[in-house]
Amino acid sequence: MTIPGIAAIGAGLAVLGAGVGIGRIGGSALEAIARQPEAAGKIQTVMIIAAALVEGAALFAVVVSLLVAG
Amino acid sequence: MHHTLQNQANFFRLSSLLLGSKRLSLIVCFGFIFFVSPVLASDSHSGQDSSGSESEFNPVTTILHHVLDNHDWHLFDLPGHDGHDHPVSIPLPIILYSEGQFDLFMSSAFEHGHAQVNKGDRVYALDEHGHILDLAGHSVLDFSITKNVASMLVAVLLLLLIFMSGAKSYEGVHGRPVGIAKVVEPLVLFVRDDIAIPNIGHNYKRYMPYLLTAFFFIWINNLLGLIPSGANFTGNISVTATLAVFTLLITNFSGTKTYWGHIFTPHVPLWLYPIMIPVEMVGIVAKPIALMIRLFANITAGHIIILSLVSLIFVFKSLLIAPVSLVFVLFISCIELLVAALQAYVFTLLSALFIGLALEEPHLEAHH
Amino acid sequence: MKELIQPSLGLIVWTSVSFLILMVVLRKYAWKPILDAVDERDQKISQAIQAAEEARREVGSLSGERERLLAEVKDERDRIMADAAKTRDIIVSEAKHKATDEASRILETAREAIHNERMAAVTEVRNMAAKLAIDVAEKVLGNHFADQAKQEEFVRAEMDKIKLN
Repeated sequence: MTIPGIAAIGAGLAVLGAGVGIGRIGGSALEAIARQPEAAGKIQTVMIIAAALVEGAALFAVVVSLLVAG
Repeated sequence: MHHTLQNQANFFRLSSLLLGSKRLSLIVCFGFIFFVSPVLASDSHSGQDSSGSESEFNPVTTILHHVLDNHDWHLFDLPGHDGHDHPVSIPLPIILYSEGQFDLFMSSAFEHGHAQVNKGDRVYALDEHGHILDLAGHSVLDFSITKNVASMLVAVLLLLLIFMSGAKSYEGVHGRPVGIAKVVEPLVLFVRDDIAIPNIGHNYKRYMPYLLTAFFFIWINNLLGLIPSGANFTGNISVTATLAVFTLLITNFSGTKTYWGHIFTPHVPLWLYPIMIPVEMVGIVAKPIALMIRLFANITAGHIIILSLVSLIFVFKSLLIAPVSLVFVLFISCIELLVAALQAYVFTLLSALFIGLALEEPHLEAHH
Repeated sequence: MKELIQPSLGLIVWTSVSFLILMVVLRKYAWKPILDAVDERDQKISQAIQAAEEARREVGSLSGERERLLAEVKDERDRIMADAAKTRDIIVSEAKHKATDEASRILETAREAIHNERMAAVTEVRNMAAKLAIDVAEKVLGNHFADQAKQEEFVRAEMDKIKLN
């Protein structure tokens, strides 16, 4: 397998992880909002921060893949 | 083949006419195109192979060309008399610093990479990536007004226009927002009440100019990038790095004793210090780097997706694929509109969060 | 692809310079006026609310004052009315008293006068009767009693027999 091919698989795996992570964050936020609708604004902010952090980790991986792929 | 194409086009028109309902006809067209497009694609490929005159379309180079910075603002290509496509673009000023001297000329002088520019003993030319080299061997610093810079200057002008006229409209109306201020004020208050105050606390006022400017600067540049043939300014690593460095500097220059204490004297056993202190110091830099990569990757990814969908038309060499990619492009563009605002929000929010963490007061330590 | 993450000096310089200038200019000509206007308005609104609250409280206290004054006035009125009624009663009873007195005095006087008149009338009647009697007697007994002295003695004796009343 070529290096760019492996890099692409790596990027895919990173996206997979981030997808699971952000999905869990979204799901939990939904449950939390359903339980406490009055705290929706605060939960949304925290949700976006958490999602952004997960996304950041995934993007690191994607950029590394990009670098490796050349 | 020509016959079937026409038939399909007729069916297409007929179905949308008959069905009347826009949504239904759209679905029918969709299904139809999906059904027949592989056949069409293979057809057109075989047709192209037989002619074989045109160079193969490479989506990667095209997309990279659109996503990267350029010395001129490429608008579109026109087919010329000689059978080649001729790019139509806005020439931009090129400013070079070499051998203690500034050289200034328009990018049109390069004739899209076909010509060299002589300035004294310096011979400038474009390499295959569009970078400027001095063929005489001198090192060149490039301060050109590139496509990104030009786009940013447009954004800056827009920002000045919008917000200064917004601020002006407050004069003499007893603080009641009128005109554009009605739009500007809720956004400014959003940054203040939902970004600055919850994350920074009572000291938020000092950081408002930075947060507001960063938010609107990123947002409007994101939006300008979504305009077809617009620049990919906020999807450029240099830009996001610059913005991230601003956040890094502001965060660390406003760091309190408690903040530095957390980094250099963390609440861990002494033998862990050799591990913890480097980790914390990496953390100082990692946070802005995350900001930089997040904005860059999100915006660039959006552009790449849209360009890939448009490229589908040229990859399949079929006009019938156009509605499909158009619908997808429309859909992704709507998402990108959201992402444009969301990434501006996230960048500003995280900057505010980092500043808030750096402003940590010692009494919070009692909770740990 | 590496092109994507290659920083370019020119772009960094232009971005930093433009961003800084933008921030400085907007701070002076946009953020400060907008935020100041909003702050000022917020302050004005909170002041107005406070003033309204105060005014309401004042109105409340004013209405209390009015109530008190009203009650006072009512009391005063009642008192005056009561006084007036009392005065009226006094005046009326006094007048009654006086009237009764007067009436009784007049009655007394009248009675006295009647009595006097009657006494006078009785005396006169008596005298008249005596004279009449004398006259009659004179006429009747003119001859019977030639002697004056005899006559008179007889009359007196007769008179004494007559009991008036």
